[in-house]
Amino acid sequence: MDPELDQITQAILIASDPSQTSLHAQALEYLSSIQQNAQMTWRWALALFVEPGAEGNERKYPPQVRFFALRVLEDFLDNRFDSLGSETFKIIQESLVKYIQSEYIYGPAEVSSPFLRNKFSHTLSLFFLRTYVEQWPTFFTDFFTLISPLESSSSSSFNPHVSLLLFHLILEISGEVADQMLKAARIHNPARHTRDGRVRDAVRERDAAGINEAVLTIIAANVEKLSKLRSASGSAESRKELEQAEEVVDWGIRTFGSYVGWVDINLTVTPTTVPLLFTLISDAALPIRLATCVAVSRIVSKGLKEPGDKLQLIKVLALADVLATLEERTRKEQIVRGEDTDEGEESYREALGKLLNVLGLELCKLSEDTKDDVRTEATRLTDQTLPVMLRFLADTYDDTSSTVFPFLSTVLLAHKKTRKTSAEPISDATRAFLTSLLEVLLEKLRWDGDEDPADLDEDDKAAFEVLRKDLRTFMDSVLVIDPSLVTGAVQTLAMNTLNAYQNGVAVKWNDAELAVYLVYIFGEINKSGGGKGRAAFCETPAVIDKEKRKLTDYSEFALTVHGQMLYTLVQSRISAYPHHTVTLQFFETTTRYTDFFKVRKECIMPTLHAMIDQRGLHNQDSSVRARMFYLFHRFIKEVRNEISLDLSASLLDSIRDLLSIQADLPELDSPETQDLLTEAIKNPGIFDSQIYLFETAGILNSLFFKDPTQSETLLRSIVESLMGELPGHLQAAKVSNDVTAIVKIHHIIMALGNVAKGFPELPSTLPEGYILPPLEVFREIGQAILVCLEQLNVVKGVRDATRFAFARIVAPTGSSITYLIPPLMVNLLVHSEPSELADFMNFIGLLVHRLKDAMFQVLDELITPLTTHVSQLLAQPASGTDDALTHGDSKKGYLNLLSSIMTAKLQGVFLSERNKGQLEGLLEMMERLVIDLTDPAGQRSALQFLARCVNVWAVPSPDGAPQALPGFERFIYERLIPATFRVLSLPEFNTKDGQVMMVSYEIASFYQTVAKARGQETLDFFVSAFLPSQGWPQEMALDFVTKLRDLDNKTFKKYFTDIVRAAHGGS
Amino acid sequence: MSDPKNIPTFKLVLVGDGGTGKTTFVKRHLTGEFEKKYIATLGVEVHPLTFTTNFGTICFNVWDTAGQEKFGGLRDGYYIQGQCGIIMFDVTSRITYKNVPNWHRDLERVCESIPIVLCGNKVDVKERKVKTGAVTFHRKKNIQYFEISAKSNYNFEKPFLWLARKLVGNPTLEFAAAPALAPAEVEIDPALMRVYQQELAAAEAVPLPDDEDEGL
Repeated sequence: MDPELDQITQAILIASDPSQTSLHAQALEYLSSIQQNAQMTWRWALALFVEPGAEGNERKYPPQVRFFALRVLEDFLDNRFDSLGSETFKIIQESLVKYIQSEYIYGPAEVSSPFLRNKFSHTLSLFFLRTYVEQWPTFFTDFFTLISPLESSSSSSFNPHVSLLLFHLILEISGEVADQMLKAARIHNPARHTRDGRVRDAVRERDAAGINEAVLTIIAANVEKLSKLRSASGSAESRKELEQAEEVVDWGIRTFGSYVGWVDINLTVTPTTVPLLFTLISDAALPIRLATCVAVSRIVSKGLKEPGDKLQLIKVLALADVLATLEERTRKEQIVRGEDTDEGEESYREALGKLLNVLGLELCKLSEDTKDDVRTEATRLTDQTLPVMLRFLADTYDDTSSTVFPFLSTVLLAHKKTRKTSAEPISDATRAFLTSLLEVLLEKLRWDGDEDPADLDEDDKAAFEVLRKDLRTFMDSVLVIDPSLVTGAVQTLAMNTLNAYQNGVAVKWNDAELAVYLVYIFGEINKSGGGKGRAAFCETPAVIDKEKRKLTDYSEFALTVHGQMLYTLVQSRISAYPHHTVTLQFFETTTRYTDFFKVRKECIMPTLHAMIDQRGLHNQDSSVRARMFYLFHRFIKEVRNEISLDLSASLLDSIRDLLSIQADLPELDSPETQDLLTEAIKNPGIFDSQIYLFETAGILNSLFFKDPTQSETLLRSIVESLMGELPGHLQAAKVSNDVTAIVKIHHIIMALGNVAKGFPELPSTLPEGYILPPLEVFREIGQAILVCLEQLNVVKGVRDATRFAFARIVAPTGSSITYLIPPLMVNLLVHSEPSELADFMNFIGLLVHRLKDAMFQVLDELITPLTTHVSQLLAQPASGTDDALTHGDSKKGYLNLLSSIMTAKLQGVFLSERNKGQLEGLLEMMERLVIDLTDPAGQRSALQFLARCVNVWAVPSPDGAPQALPGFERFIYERLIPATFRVLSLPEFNTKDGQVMMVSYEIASFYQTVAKARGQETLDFFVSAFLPSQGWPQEMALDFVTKLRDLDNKTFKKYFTDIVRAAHGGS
Repeated sequence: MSDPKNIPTFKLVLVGDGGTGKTTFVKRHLTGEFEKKYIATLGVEVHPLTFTTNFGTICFNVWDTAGQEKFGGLRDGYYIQGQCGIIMFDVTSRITYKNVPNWHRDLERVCESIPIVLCGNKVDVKERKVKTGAVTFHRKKNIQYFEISAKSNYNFEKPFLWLARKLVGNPTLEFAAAPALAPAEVEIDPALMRVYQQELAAAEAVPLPDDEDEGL
């Protein structure tokens, strides 16, 4: 005996021992070398695998050793496409045949280590692939002689072990040469591709018929055996035999399915196979049924060259009838099972649904065929399958229901196409189908009554939402085909439920929810049906112009269908239904269609009542409350013009108790790395939604604008208690660094800001008689926030909240609070972090936009330090992705700010005494940005800024006075134009990148801006100085300046960009 | 506490390409991490992960196999006697998803008809390469799919719960107490996850692409 064999055995035993020893690593290393040298070591491996034990049938080496041996053999055989040496071939062939005989025909077929069977079938398939085409053409014939019933044995049945080995072998071969998914998972190898093709061809030519016959014969024999065993009384022995026969049939059908796709269909679809498959598709054993469904669907979807053949195939199969019968049977079984669910049986129904879907899609494809007879027949067959499809669609299990979605949408698409091309009315048959379809869809849109959505996990809720969306796309399709059918069905169902509820009939929660939901989606379904705005809800006579709209009494006009539904919705008092899902859906719906309330104002009060009591804002469920804060805000914002002052005051009173601030501190996952304050501010809990309530309070407050005294009193009543809390919190924050206190200060600052947001923006030019909001109170608010900031300017959260609040407070107050800005700036900047810079500059940009001239002073002081800071920041290399993001944001923020300054016509700050010395630095920074190819967006922004500079500084004054910035044109000619030209000719300038080409557009625009500002001087510069220096021929240069002068911007940009492309060798 | 000897224990084989996060995933479970048996520096580690369910405690012996070929040790030799499996890929790397069929086939060959879960890991990373809708393998093979983020503990128990239900044969099995997990290393964006969940649900309804047929 070879000592190596023992050594390998030892190594494997050591390597697979879970209580590892010191030799473990060494053993692994040794085995790895055996593996890598399979070219040499395969003989040992073969011996290890097949060597018989002393007792004859047993094998000498333990299973895990033999398993490893197979791996070495596989490494030896796999991924090589030449022939084996004839000696090698002989040795392996003989050993394996002998092994199969002794182990599978006469032996126990690896009964104690079943994993070796499958592994061996793979090894054998690799040997087959290597030798079948040339060295072992009789592989299958030889194999079949092994399967034939043994003459010596008394029974005529096939040896189950060899049968299974054959099946696994064919499955492995199909997997290697014909499985598209496995093929996609391999690295493409041309040699292998050719080899696989040759093997397929050889099998088709030599053995396909034989293989198919063998497989089917074994299946048939075992099916017969099954029926005998099933009818016999079951002893333990026969139960085992039964299980084995089932296993053989299951694998036999899988095997059949594995080659259906790549062998002649005339072999696989015959007068014998069809009845056999249809017997097995309803076999008692679930695995057999499932395997049969897959095999049949492979037959149906097999690619055939002639559509007529495909149609013939489908007719021969008569699958629609079979599926109709099976659907009905399984549906009845499902009803009988009731609560007692059976996942296996449901997976069978799902498999049947999938099969029907495959059949349906094939039929739809044939219904579009060019040949009339094929098309007519396919359409007829499609129509026949529709009732069964609807049955599957109606299944309560969504997995089963959704199996036929692709088929359904293809059918609907075909109907939609017909509607577009044909003027004929819809046939009765089609209408009947669509009517039944709608019934099913409406039923499927309903929640499962036994489940409470509040208890479901996010995945299930998301799945239902998506299902509803899918079902709605089907409704949309039906709507295109027959609009009245859909609107009628939806309206009837919703109205019936709502009326029933109103009349005191008991309605289940999921029926109630569905009714409200249908009103909710009706606006989307009926998109083309109704008008826009108020006209969606009532029949307005004609377009009413904007001025007259206020004077029109819409209550006179009759309601549209959707208007009626909403009216019934409100009047039915369904909002009182004791189920959160129903009530919340009610509020979602009313908030979505606020225009309705402008045509039926009597519906506002009941809706608002529901919103503010325990159904809505005062609901005991905090998740409902949170959503309501937002919905109430939306509703009030939209209908505020319909709200009387009395109502407004009473609404304010009823939400007053909800305006107190809570600070919820989160539980930290890892206190050592997380900062409690940061986390508390990042996850503010219900305050995240409550913030809307403060804005709503502001809106309601603003309705009193005509009475400044009352307006001020009300505003004080809202904000004073909040501001009153601040000193105490500040104290706690300063003295004991109390996190809760700081969080509360943060929240209060944001809340105060959002109250201001509820007030209308101050117009940029005040119209006559404009009544200002209570400015004094806003000044106090601003002052209070500033005090907090001064005390806590080290806290980033407080700085963030202050910017948030001031951005909102300046909107209604305008320049009245400008005096607070300088101290605000100082305190925002003193402890600012790099990541805040961008936000800060955006904030300044916003102030510039709002306050215009009033910001001049602040900007004058700020712009130079800011420019220096940004310039330094950008000069530093980014150390990592976070840093790069901060850089990018800061740059963007700075460029936006420059743009805001130019828009507000505050360019004077750049030329002021304080800043004019820095202007050159700023322009140079812009020049650097213009040529930075890594950031096309930045290039464009910088160019736009420079173009605006040209417009204000390079235009000669008409009256001969000096231009605003003398000599600016020299900077343009000497620096900017050469720089932009250089950029365009860089090899890195990628003309195929859309973003990069936008830069080229921007440069073209810049040239035109310059030419417009300076006139002939620019044209002369290009034609006689610059372009010649770039090597442009005279003619081309002349053409360029003519176009620069005469073409409109769009055409010039295109012309210029074409030149750039051509210069880069593109077309 | 129940007697450890009477706890139903299942061998779980965890496979997938190198770098997909198999080890990180299994180490989230702190008890398992504490009690793991260090079996090899390279080949495999076995972690006993226990879960408390409404039917008592169960234990998964998770065989964390090496994904990288050169550290493979006994490779599919470790699958022997596996009772359930998890195939892991990385949603930020297309190649790891492309390889899933190979892992699945190797696993099925050695452990015939065991329950298998496919896990797409690293969904916390915003730059995904394998979009939720592009994951169709599980539907073709009728196995379960979950999107997880080992670093943020997102959906950590889902694969185990599904396997436990299959192995015990009872769909009403629930985990009674959350296992002790290592703290999340990254924040997961709930809004993003919600989008993924919806995409996943939406993807389930899309027909599978036809496999090309080889013709006659």
